[in-house]
Formats: sequence, C-alpha cells, structure tokens
Amino acid sequence: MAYTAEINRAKPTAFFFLIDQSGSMDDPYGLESNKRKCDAVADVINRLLSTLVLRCAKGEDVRDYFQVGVVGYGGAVRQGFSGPLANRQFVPISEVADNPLRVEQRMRKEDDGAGSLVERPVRFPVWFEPYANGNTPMTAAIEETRRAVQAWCELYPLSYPPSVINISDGEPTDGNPLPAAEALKQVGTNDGKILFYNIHISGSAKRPIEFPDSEIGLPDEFAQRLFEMSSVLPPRLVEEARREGFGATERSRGFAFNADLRSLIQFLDIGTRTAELR
Amino acid sequence: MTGATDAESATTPSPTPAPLRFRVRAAHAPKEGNSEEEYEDAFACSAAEPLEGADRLTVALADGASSAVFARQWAQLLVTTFAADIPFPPDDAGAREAVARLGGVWREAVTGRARSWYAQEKLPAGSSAALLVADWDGERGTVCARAVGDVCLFLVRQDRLRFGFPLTKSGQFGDRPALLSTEPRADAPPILRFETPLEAGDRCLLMTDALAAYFLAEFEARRKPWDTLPLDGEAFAPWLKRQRDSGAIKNDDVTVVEVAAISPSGS
Repeated sequence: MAYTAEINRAKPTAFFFLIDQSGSMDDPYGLESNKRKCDAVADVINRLLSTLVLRCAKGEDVRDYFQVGVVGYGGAVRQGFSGPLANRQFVPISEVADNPLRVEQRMRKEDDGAGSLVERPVRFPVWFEPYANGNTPMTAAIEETRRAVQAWCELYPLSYPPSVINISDGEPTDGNPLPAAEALKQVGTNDGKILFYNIHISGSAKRPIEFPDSEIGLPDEFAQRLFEMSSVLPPRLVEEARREGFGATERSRGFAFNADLRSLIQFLDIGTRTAELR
Repeated sequence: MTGATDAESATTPSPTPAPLRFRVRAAHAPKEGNSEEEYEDAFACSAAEPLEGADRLTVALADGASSAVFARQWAQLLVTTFAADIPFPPDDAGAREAVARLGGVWREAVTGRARSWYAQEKLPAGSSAALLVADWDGERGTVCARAVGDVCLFLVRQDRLRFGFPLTKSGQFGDRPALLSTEPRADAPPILRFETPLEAGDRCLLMTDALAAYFLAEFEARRKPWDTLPLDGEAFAPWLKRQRDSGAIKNDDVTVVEVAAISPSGS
C-alpha cells in the first residue's frame, strides 16, 4: 500500500519548498492590512520549518527524519537558503534547526486549558526574510523542483515520498504551470508519487480554507489554478485530516488559501504523538 | 482470554493456599537504527538481584512518547520512583498528585539541559509516557496492576492466555495512546486498575506497545506467542530482527518483562 513507509533516519522523507518572491508579493496581504504578501510568505515558510524541527526535536537532539530543500522564484529561480546553508539543495533537518539567521521572540495566543486564550512568548526562528522582486517564473521553478526531487527519489527509493509545497499568490509570468505540475506529480518513490501542495497567499480578505475538495467557493482564478495543480490527498492523509478536525473527503486536495498547512506535518507518522503536538 | 475490565473473577481475589515466590526475566532492544542511548522505554524492579525467589515484587514499565521532549528521562523517573521509592498510590487523586510532583522533579532535571531554541520551545509542553506498574504479593497470591496507555500485562496460565490488561485486541493500538504527562492536565486520561489471584506456574508478561500488539495479533491468529517469545538475551535479538524484517513487529523500542509465579519448592 502506498504512503505507508516508515520514516526514520535511514529512510528519511523530504520537504521541498517553492517560494514566490516576485514583485507582486509586495502587494498588501488580504488578512492583515499592515502586512505585505511577502511578509505572509516569510511567516509561512519560517513557521513550517520551525514545525518540522520541533517534530524531530527530542531535547538537544534533532533526529534527521526529514530533509529540506528550498527554491525561490522572483526574477529568476535560485536556491533558497542563505547564510551557512546557502547553495545546499537538500539539508538534514538537524542542520536547518541549528542554522536560522536569527531567533525572534513573538507573542502567540494559546488556549489556557480553561476555555480562554492567553498570550505566550514563543521563540520564532527566521530562515527567510521577506523579499519581492521581478517577474514570476513559477513554471521554471516547478521544472527545477522536478529535477531535484527526481534525483532525491533515486537516492531514497524506499522512503516515504517527498512533499513539495509551493507558496505563491498564483500569478505566474512564464506560461501555464499545469503541465509542469502534472509532470512533477509523476515523480515518486516505491512508496508513492510525490505530494504537491499549494498555499495561496492572497490579497483577498476571505477566510482561510484548507484541504478543499472542489474549486467551487475559491475566490479567484489564481486560487482555482493552484487547487487544480495540487495532489489529491491519499486516503491515509484524508483519515489523518479528519482526525484533526478538518472536513476532508476522498476528493480533498493539498491546497490552502491564506493558511499555513502546518497540520500536514503532524499527519506524518514518526512515532507516538502527544496531545500537545496534535 | 478475558479483558481485565469484564472479568468478574479478576476483581475479587482469593488467597491461594501456599505462598508464592516470583522469578523475573527481561529483554529489551532499542528501535532498529537507534543506539542504546536513544532507547526510550524504561523498566525497573523492586527486588534485588538475582531476581529469583522474591515473595513481594513491584515492576514498573514505561514507554516514553517519541514526539515528546526528554521522554527517556521522564520514563526512567516514573519507573524508578514507582518500582523502588514509593508505592503507586491506591486512589486516582493520590496518583495524580504523585505524578505532578514527579513532573516538577523532571523539569528541574532537564531545564538546564535545554539550551537550543527548539528544546526551550518544546519544554513548556512537558513530556509524556505510557506506564504500567504491577505489584505481586506472594502471601496473598495476587497481582495488582495500574496502567495509563498501551503498556500491557498478559497472564498465561496452563498454556492459555487468561487476561490482557489494559488492551485486549491488536486493533486497539495506535499512535495516540493515553499518556501520563509531566504537566497536570484537566483532560488527564483515567488510571485503569486490575487485580487477580495467581497460581503457581502462572506467567505474567509485561510488554511495551509494539511487542504487545504483535502478541495479541498472534493470539488472534490462534497461535501461542508465549511459547515462542525468547527471553534470554542471546536468542531475543535475532528473533526480534526476524519479526521486524517480516513486518510482524513494528520498528519501535521493545521491552518485555516476565514474572513467573513459583511455589516455594520451586515448581
């Protein structure tokens, strides 16, 4: 059965991020008026990386269950990490953990266990700064990703297949990205095809949507195209999504509108889960 | 086999005529690919070596949650405390109070070790472990167990599996078991209890989840896993590797403790 490979250090899985850094990302973000789309993108990628690290942290030890690759596209396609991780295509999660550009302190609202929300300071590591410049070569970025992920799958044929996450406002300038997305979704390991997720960062202030099963109700053609590009969730992930309270169906896709998809990291089975990590 | 919760005879122990003695054997292995230092199960026994002929005995077995921070330290603290230092409190309120105190001990022990942003960020959520603590009383001829989570006790008598506690079916295992947390929680899971009389020749097998799930699946397939489970160190490792390679046992930390009831004459 597909998507059942155990994830361990000998057989890690991979996360590959595509970050839209084009000029249009300088536009206002719909959900928060004081933010630009590129600020929202930076928050999403930094939060996803932080969640990946925390999932593997046992204390001072971070176990390399995951490898991470990033490309940015804005003007051109380029390797995404900077600082000590610059020019690395796939980086073990322990090295990602130990090499943020800086660690900020932010406030986060949390349930206090008695039905109220309290603000708690959290450490917020930053690997990516907001950046917006040039046109949007999304198709070229997907093609570059296919080559990188194909090479990874050849190295780890028995692993759980990579998750590819594209974070964008969905306005490519180098043609229709659908054929490139379809080609990317044909790449895989013995355990299944890669899973292609799309996170739409929009100027629209409409409420977040995660794992929809239809394009009906999505706010615009850009969201609809990103939905169409996204993988249909395999049954096991649909089951996990339902357990986490999402109204997922067997037609649900790996798509989010103005949301960060952090939940999908919790769907991966790397051992006993605690209530805090749900 | 009967589940402890629906076994009427299990809750009304009657003393056996002759006092019993107990013999303990144990085997364990970390998850394949991990080192002994990364093993996050923990077990402890109240009796001193050579673990043969004790007339009273407590064994505690815990399984640290793999997603939690400093889980090995929490599992070890739970078992050493309840096997050797203090008896497991008879009532739920006392037990929760004791666990909360231990949570404070754990926090004090690990806080100075959390230097990175990720360890410091995970520390407020605390740690978690499944736990089973069992007392054997040779005079009364009983075993009394309490459990939170999926660490199991199986009682084999006259070549038959008589009781499973707290789980009785292989399908009951999952990746979200009930856990004892270092942090007091309003939605803390119940502490389950089980007591039953013993007879000379009885074997109690305590196991963490991967082995317990295998044990019950074998039983459901009308086999006798208690006959084929090797408990000496040399045979256990290759046997476990075969079972893992075949997919019969999930790759996880594995621990089994056998407590056999023997008559004073040694039979």
